[in-house]
Amino acid sequence: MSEAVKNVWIAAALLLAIAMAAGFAGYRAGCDPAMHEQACRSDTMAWLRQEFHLTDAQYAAIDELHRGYTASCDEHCRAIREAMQARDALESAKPADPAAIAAAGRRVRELSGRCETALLRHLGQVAALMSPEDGRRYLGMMRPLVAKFRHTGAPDLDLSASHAGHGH
Amino acid sequence: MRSSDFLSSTFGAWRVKPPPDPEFRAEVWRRIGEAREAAPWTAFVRARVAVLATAATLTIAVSGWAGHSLARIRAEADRDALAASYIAALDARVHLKLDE
Repeated sequence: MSEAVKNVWIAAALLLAIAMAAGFAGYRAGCDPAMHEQACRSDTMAWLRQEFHLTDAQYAAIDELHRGYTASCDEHCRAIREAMQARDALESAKPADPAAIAAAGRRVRELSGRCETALLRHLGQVAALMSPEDGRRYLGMMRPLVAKFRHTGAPDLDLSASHAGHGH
Repeated sequence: MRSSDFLSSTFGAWRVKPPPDPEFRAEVWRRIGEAREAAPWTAFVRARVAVLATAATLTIAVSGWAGHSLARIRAEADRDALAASYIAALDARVHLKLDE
């Protein structure tokens, strides 16, 4: 190999090393290891605290609000489940009663709507405990997720980790 | 006559008439090229400093941007997953998979 070709290869290797170093530095500058860790552990409350810059007092108040909402959520869950069971029973009954099935379906949708309204109200209360800017950002992030359910149904989530203590 | 006078007159009368070499110019350039090829690393860099500096700057900019973008994409994915998980924990309809 001639000296010139060797020098070209050395230059190419140096540029490659520079590329890798710059890429790594850019990656380190852009990544959020704390949030990645929270995502791996499904630690949504720790994420909420960091993402929306909650003070200890705000965090405690929101945590309490969430705990209070859990009872309401459980109640919605129970009511919707019963309505769904009633609808399913009507659907499998012989002979089928279309009017009753439609009414049962309406009941499920009505309860679902109430659940959504209560959830949106709860999100508003949580946002009110944050700073105005973070509260707006919180609602801007959460409301579409609630609305998305209406259009697409339940997301395919593994809820076992995040709902372990939720009581559903 | 002294010997120095003799040498002076001899050298004064001496005329060198080499035969013209048609390959002379090409040979000079060939040897310059060889010398260039054999240049050490520092000489190689000095001869191409503008090209190498531009390449290094572009490499840093593109690679840094690519690394940063990749990290932001991953952070956004983490954020989306956490937000979805958070709202799922509060939404009874998700638990019941109401769409089914």
